[in-house]
Amino acid sequence: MSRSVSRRHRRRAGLKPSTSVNLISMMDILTVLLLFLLKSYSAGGEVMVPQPGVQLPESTADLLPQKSLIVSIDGDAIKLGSEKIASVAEVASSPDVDIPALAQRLPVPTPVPGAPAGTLSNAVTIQGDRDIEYSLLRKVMYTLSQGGYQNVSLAVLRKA
Amino acid sequence: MAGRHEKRGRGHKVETPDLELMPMLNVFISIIPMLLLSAAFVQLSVIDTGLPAPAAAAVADAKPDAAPPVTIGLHADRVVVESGPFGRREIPRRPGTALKDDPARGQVEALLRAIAGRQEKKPEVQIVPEGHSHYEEIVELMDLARAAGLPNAALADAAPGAV
Repeated sequence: MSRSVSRRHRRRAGLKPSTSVNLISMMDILTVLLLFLLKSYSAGGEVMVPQPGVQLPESTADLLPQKSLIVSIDGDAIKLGSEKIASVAEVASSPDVDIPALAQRLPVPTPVPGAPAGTLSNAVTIQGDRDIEYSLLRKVMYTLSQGGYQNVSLAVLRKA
Repeated sequence: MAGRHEKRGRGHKVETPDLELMPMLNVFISIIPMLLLSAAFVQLSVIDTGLPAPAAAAVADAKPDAAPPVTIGLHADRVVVESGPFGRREIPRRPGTALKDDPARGQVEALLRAIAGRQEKKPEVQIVPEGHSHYEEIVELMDLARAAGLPNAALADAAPGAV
């Protein structure tokens, strides 16, 4: 049945005509949004998001992050993934060169599937707050190296 | 596809195609929230770096045909750049100012460019920060070295009394 016919019927019956929603403009918006989102996925590399509370420094480095263990250091805590490991204040005041709590929680590097024999998944990315001190970063890096993580990367925000 | 008949002129009926957009809209409404939830709007990149080793060890371990490494000491009041053939140069810093806003930044960059420009083989850069140096300033120095044409920058520890 055509709409003009149904409209006539409704008018005769004393009913208000139904308003048809124009979806074309909504479809335009959604299509643009979809293309934008799909483009952001085509950049490649591992999708890495900054840990909450960490203000990463800006850099012109353009190396894409790879899949790795993530250790974050903000103003209050050192975290392995999203799990809090140690307090920054305690670590900073400790005379030790390493962080025992982090060393205990570090997983043992495992062989990389499909890679040549002896290749271990020993990559780690440090997400450090821009205001942390080098002495703290050094302790974290030393602990990671003692735990078998030799392949260290520093995460930064890419400058436009 | 449904059609709509409209009368135009003298009894001519023109059929206006009426697209069924609802299935497409349903797909869009399902996909877009999923993509939005998993999208990373902040572009992160990484700087590969080695573990801090004594700067003196890096000089000793350098290959005989490699250019001698450039050592940059980052202090609260000065930046010290030391390179074999170019000697040692101290650049004073404005106290309490971040390196990115400090006039010393431009001088360090110019010096690194001069070092990179005068050597065929690009030397490695060893950054030796003080314990209280901010992480942001270390990254800034790495950027300066990269911009000057010295892409291999690593962290290093100072030998007592050096740099």
